[in-house]
Order: sequence, then structure tokens, then C-alpha cells
Amino acid sequence: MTFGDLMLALPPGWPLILGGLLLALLRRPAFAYATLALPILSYWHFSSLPDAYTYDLDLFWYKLELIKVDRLSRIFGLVFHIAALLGALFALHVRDRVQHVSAMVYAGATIAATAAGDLISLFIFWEMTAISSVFLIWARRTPRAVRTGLRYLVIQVGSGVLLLSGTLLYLAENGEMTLKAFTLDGPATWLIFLAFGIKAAFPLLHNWLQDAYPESTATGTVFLSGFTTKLAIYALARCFPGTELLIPIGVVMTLFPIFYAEIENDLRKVLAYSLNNQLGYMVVGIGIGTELALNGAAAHAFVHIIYKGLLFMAMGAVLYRTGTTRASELGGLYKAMPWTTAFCIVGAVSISAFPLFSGFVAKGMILTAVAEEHRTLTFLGLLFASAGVMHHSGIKIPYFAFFAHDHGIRHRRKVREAPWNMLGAMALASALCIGIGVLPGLLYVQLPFSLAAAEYLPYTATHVVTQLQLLLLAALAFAVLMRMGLYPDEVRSINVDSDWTYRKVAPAVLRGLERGFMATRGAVERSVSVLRIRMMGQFGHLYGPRGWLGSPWSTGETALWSAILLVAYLVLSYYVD
Amino acid sequence: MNDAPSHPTPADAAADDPPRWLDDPDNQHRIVIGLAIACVLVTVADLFYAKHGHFGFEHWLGFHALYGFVASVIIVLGAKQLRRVLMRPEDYYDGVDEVYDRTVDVPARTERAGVSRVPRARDRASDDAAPDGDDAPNGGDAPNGDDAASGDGTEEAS
Repeated sequence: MTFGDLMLALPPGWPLILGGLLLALLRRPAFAYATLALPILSYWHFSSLPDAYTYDLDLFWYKLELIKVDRLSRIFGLVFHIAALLGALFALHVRDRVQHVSAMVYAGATIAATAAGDLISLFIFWEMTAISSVFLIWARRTPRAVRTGLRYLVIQVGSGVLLLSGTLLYLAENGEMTLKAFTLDGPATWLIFLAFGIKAAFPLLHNWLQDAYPESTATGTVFLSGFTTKLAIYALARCFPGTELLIPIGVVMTLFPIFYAEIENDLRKVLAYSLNNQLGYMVVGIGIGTELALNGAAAHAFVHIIYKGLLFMAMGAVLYRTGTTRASELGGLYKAMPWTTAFCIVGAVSISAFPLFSGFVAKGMILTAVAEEHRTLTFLGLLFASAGVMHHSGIKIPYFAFFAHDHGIRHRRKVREAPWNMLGAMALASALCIGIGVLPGLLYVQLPFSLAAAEYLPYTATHVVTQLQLLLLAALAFAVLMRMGLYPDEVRSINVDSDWTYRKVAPAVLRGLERGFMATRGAVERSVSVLRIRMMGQFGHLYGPRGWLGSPWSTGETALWSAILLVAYLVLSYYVD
Repeated sequence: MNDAPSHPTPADAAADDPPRWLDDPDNQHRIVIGLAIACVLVTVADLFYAKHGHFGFEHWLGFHALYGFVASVIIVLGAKQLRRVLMRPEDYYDGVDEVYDRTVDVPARTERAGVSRVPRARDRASDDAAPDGDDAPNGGDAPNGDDAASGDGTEEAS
């Protein structure tokens, strides 16, 4: 086997997984710098695979399609590599080896999953992302992060278990398990759909995201924000394109998080809600299922990974320098962190989809696809959510962190500008946001349906002007509400979400059941012991030394009773015969 | 860990802080006025090009402008009302979590990494009351056990 064969048999992402594990053996600072080399090495390997390449592995009597690379895999693979590189640069200063290793394995597993050709291979990498990523949460090493990580792990692994159950059912029914477009027609595909839905943070299945991401380290969240949910988007685009049900799910996903984001105090949690909202656009695109819509979903995932990563980096830098991301503690940081502020604003403008920034050239594709299908309510819903994005990500994040009123943290913590590697990563991400916005063709050639992508024109007068109207008037509304004192102020607080059911209700119900059980058991035990004492008394009475049955009998009495018994036996034996 | 337990007085802040352009309320006012003018301009711009929309309502003058403004007001005021139902104190889940605190062993490395101590449930009440008790309520007196000071053993690359 030559080196070339080996390269072709190695699934994409594996250089990151293997290299990441080897990092554990290197010394600092070598291992930190190796995290920069690994994504580049891995991408070189990924891009060297021929077009429409497949590699099968016979395992027992099943054929595993370990590698199956098409245009959809390629674009997701590319952006996951970019995210890994940006994250590695952002985290270059981190001394904690666990974080570097888990981040590399996590990125590698995600990339390998996008190149998986069958359900079992997908399942393996699906679980690998769950297990490797939880260390990024635990790396914070607070009791609270440990608990949050456990909740995260249970839900992520649970998604994998559903995927495996669905896979096995599907295999039993159809005798094969190639990844392809499924229809929701039986328990097997529903289980798979649900597994994807958990990782894609469908409404009511979403809360692991807002729970876990803000709890990770300053650098860990940057990695977390890039991979898991977008892998789920990839999987949905691969297996459930055009599934009508995804449209209402997606619209709800874009809408409800914007209300939460508006009142949330922790700015990284605001970003987590915003992430949830962004996934909604992609889910709608997949649900529409036309070539333009699927292109839109892929393009939006691509640009979203970069600008959301950028926003999490900016908040990570704030957390690193100030020790908090609470809006109620921050403010005025632009004086101490001017570069971070500028990069954060680029991310905020990109996510709001201002013309000349990356969000504009991607989100417009999904909205156009919705309009072409004449889905009025969906269109109005997404437009409503776009105004919301402007508010919570476009304005709230930079405003409350860097401007607003200074809560004094800048002086208390002697805040300085972020370190050079953080600034470098943010600068690169900002350059990508602007570059894609100005030259959308760079992104469009990567899209799954190249013809549909070539036909789409983002910069039409209508699109530019209407988008500016929407965004500028939304910004004006913010300014007006702020000046009138109607804007919800920053309060140290949390808001209950669906995690309330398993963090508050379920424990309360369990405690209630436990109490009920204990009370019942107590009552039963008490009555049993009363009964036991009474019965002991009775037995003692009968069999005790002075009891009727227990006391010794005289010989005469015994002889008399024996004679009576014998006579009775004799009489009975006559009757029986 | 918090080197300045008391909040700086306005005098402190003024001493080492040169006033910036944005600090001037007049300039802040100018920004809002500029934004309002930009809003009027993009709305009026509708008159000067042929709109291509898929829906009838898209062709109304300034539809997107009105929709953006109204949507924003609904979102902000709606979210504000939701606070009545959803908002809880920061330690809302702590009572439940204490059950886990006793069962989950926190890695000993925490201490080595620089977080001076990991507060146990019994310490927590006092930590919360500290004026500067940071991010995580149970993060204790190290800035929320955080990256800044230490939490994940981070340090700037030299």
C-alpha cells in the first residue's frame, strides 16, 4: 500500500483526530502551534480527494461507506476546516492541553461525519463529536460547568442513541443504510429525524445549546458554536431536503429565540439564542428544498459559522479580559478594547445581513426561495425575525459590551486589549465576512447546485434598498425605545426556558414521588410492625411456656387424645372404602 | 482576587480617562438624528427604482421600513412583558444543583490552575453577596473561575 492509497483510504478529518491525539505528547508551546498546522494539513488531504469520491470498507457482512464526498460534503468540509483554523488561532494562548486535544478531535469528527456515506459511519462520528466536545465545557472546571457538561452530554449522546435506533430499524426494514434523502414514513426515519432535530436545536429540543455554550471557556465556545449544530444542518440537508414539516419548525426557530435574546443578560447566552434563530433560516431553506433554497441553506451555514464564530470570539475576548459577559456588568469597553470592538461590529453587521457583508448574500437566497414558492406567512415570519436579528445580535451585543453605560469594570479589572492571537483570529474572520459580502462569487462557486447559484444575483436595487429599510428602521426603533426608557434594562437575572422542565419540574416531581414513596413505606412499615407485635403476642400466648399449645401435657391426656384419633381414623377408613 | 473591591468613583474614572467624542450627549444625539435621516432617505429611495417583489405588499412604498419598525417595537415590548413570566434570580437553579454538588467531584486541578478555591454549596451564599461576585454564582471570588485570571489555565502567549 503506497502513501497515495493510504491517503485515499483515510477519511477526511482524520488528520485532525489523529494529530489532535498526538498533540497530547508534544510540549508547549509546540502543541499550541501544531493546532494551527493540523487544520491546514487536514484540508490539504480533504481537497486532494477526487470529485464524487467514495471509499468502502467491508465490515462483517455490511459495506460501510466511510468516505463519500460530493459537493454538499465539500462546502461543509471547507467551512469546518476554516472554523477549526480560526478557533485554533483564537485559542493559541491557552495552556490547557485538554482543550486543544478535544477541540481538534471534535473538529475532525465533525468533518469525518460530513464525509460519511452511510448511517453507521455517521453515527460513529456523531457520537464522537458529542464526547469530544463536552471536554470544552468541563475545561472551565467549575462545579457549575461540570453539571452543565453532564446535562449536555446526556442530551448529545441521547441524540446518538436515537440515531442508532433509527439506523438499526431502517437496516432491518431495507437491508441497506446508505445516506440519502429519506421520507418520514415510519418509525425508523422519524427516529433519525428526531436525532438530527436534537442537534439542530429544534424548538423544545433546543435548550441544551443555550444551557451549555455560555458555560464553556472563552475559547471553547468558539469551537462549540461552529460544529455540532451545523453538522445537524448538513445531515438534514442530506437526508430530509424538501420535508414540508421543516418549514414550520424553522419559522418557529427563527422567532422564539429573538424574544429570549432581547431579555437575556449573559451576552454569550444572547449569542446562543441568536445561533438558534440562525439555524431556523437554514431549516426553512432545507424544508423548501428547491435548488436555490438548499444553496441558501448551505451558504447561510457557511457564512454563519464564520460570523457567529467571530461574535463568540469577541465575547470570548471580553470574558478573557473582564471575567464576565454579563451586560449588567460591562459597558464602555470600546475605550480599552478598540480592535475587539471593531471586529465585533463587523460580526454584528454581517449577521444582521447588511449589504456588502456576508449575511446579506446568503440569507437573501433563502428569503428569495421562500418568496418564489409564494409562502406568504413563512416570508413574513422570516422578515420579522430578521428585524429581531438586527436587535439582539446587530445592536445589543456590541452596544451593551462596548458602549452603553460604563459599569466600571474597565477600571476594576484594568481591562486591556485582547492578546494578538485573539485579534488575529478576529481579523481573519472579519476579512472573510467582508470578502464574501463584497465578492459573493467566491462563496457561490462552492455551493451544491452551481447552476442555480450562478443565476442568483444578491445585489439588486430591490434587495439592497428593502434590506436597508428593514435594518435601519429596526435600528431607529432601538434608539427611540432606548431614549423613551422602554428598552428592557440589563438586570442580573436568568430566564426560564425548556430546561425548566428537567432542571426544576422533573426534580420536583421526583422529589414529590420520593416523598410520597417514603410516606407510603412509612405507613406500611408502621402497620406491619403493629401487626407483627400483635401476632407475636398471639403466638406467645398459644405457644409460650404457659400457652395452651406450648405447655406440656400429661401422659393420660396424650393417651386419651391418641385413642380418639385412632378411633376417628378407623371410622373414616370404613367410609372411604 | 478582585484587586479593587470598591467601585471607582466618577472622579477616579475622569482622572485617567480622556473624554471621548462618544461621551458627549450632543454627539450621541447627532448619531440618532443621522440614523433618522438615513431612514427617511432609504424609504424615499423606493420612488426611484422599479421594485421586483414576489408579493403584492412588497410593492407598497416603504413596506420593509414600516415592517422593520413595527416588528422591532413588538419584539422589544413583547420581550419586556415576557420577563414577568420568565425572569428568575440568578441562583434559581442552585437549590436543585446542590444535590449534584454532593455527588460530583470537582477535579483537583482547579486549584492548581489558579482558582483560589472552589466554593462548596455552604460557601455560596456569602460569595453571592460579595459586591463583585462574578459571572458564575458559584465561581467564587476568582473572576467566575474564569479564563481571565486563570480558570482554564490560560495565559497569554509570549
